Amino acid sequence: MNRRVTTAMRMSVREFRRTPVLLAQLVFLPAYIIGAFVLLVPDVDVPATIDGTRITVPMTDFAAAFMTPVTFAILSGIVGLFLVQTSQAADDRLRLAGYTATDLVVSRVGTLGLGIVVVTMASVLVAVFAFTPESIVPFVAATLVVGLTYGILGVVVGIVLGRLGGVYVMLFSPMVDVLLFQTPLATDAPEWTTLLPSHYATNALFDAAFTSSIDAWDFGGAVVYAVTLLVVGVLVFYQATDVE
Amino acid sequence: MSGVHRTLAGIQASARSFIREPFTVVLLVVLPALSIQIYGVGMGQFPDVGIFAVSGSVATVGRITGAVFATGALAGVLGLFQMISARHADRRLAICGFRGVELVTARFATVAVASAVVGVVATLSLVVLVDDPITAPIATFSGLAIAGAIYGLLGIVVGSMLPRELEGSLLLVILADVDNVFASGLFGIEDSITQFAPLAHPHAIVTQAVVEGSLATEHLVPALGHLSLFALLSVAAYTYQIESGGDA
Repeated sequence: MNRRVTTAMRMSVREFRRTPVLLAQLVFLPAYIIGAFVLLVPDVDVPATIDGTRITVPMTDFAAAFMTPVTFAILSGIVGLFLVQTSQAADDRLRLAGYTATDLVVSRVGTLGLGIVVVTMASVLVAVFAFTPESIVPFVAATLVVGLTYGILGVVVGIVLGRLGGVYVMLFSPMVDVLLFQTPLATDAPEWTTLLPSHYATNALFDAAFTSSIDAWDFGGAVVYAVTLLVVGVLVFYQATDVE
Repeated sequence: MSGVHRTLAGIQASARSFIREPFTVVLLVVLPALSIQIYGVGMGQFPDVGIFAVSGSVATVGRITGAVFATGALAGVLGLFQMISARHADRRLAICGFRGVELVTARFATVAVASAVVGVVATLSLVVLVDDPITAPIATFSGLAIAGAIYGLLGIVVGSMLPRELEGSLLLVILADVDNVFASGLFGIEDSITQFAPLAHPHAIVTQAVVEGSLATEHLVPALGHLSLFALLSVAAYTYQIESGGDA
């Protein structure tokens, strides 16, 4: 990583550090959502389809596992959106000052990655207070991939749309994708929902949460999806910051 | 300039700044209809084994939830951005003699008009998409309009107290998402808790209007209570922000 990239990332991290309200939110909001649902849902068992098998899981465990990717997708999507929106003016100046588009792409993606790690740690910590996933490392990894996917989506939306329009889109997208169409409580999901961004990652996450087996196909699909989005994001970002 | 003229001038300026972004206006019209349809399809995929604590059609409850969420959340985010984007302009207007209550009225009027438009679109979408005919469209619209107004005011409160776009958006989006799930009544969470969710009573009004064709008078008073509470809070927060120099 060259010096220009590390400088840009350091500046971004400093900016984050100077906004303690944001850092507090990134820790508090996952605790609020996941904690509220775990505490409030009734203490009953619900039937869920995990890895193709119908099993019964406690509603509280299900709520903790399910609300983790929901929370994470919402937070990382909005953070990705604003990361690119707020850095646009600075990026234009850095480009004129000699930064290459690649420098900027690497530094912004790196900053996004750092933010996602912070939110993942907060979300997973709250989730494991409520229940113990069968396979903790894959659970964390799958959560990270959900965050990365939505973080990149947020970046793309942030470049293509304005702030208000972007927030509208990132408000509805995770709710529709994760909350409505990736729930293992459903038995009759439409075929097209497999194309949604979090499909493979949430499958992998629920496998890790409730079974001891790890589905390499789901993990692979999730990573391929995230990498494809990343390539699209890099191209869009490159185009947006190409001032020559 | 009289108070009425000052308020009208503020409303015109707010509306103009909003209409200048046509894509956002399009989203305000398209997203409610899309949300209603997608929530209906989303809820229709669940088996009928009593997972959700609702009586009747889960798909219909899903569509109602999509309508209330779309109306409330869109108005809330609009209120937030109206407050943040107009902060510096409003501070200058306050120096020029505009009173806090006139300025907040102007901001809220824009949000209220946008909420009404979203409410009309959502009501029409429900009429078209729900299987059974809706016999109380006015009551349906009323519930949706109250949801939009409550969240518009909540957006103004958040925008006044936390006037930063990223932090304000995160807070409002998370509040809207959690509130929506609580208000839907899907997860069997006790009424004694969910009744405090701002969308709970508007959701009940819309549900009764769509399903039973009548106005849920027992939910109307609490819904208007929420509305009044957020109206008071928004004026207080906004006045505090203006008087403290806009750096609340």
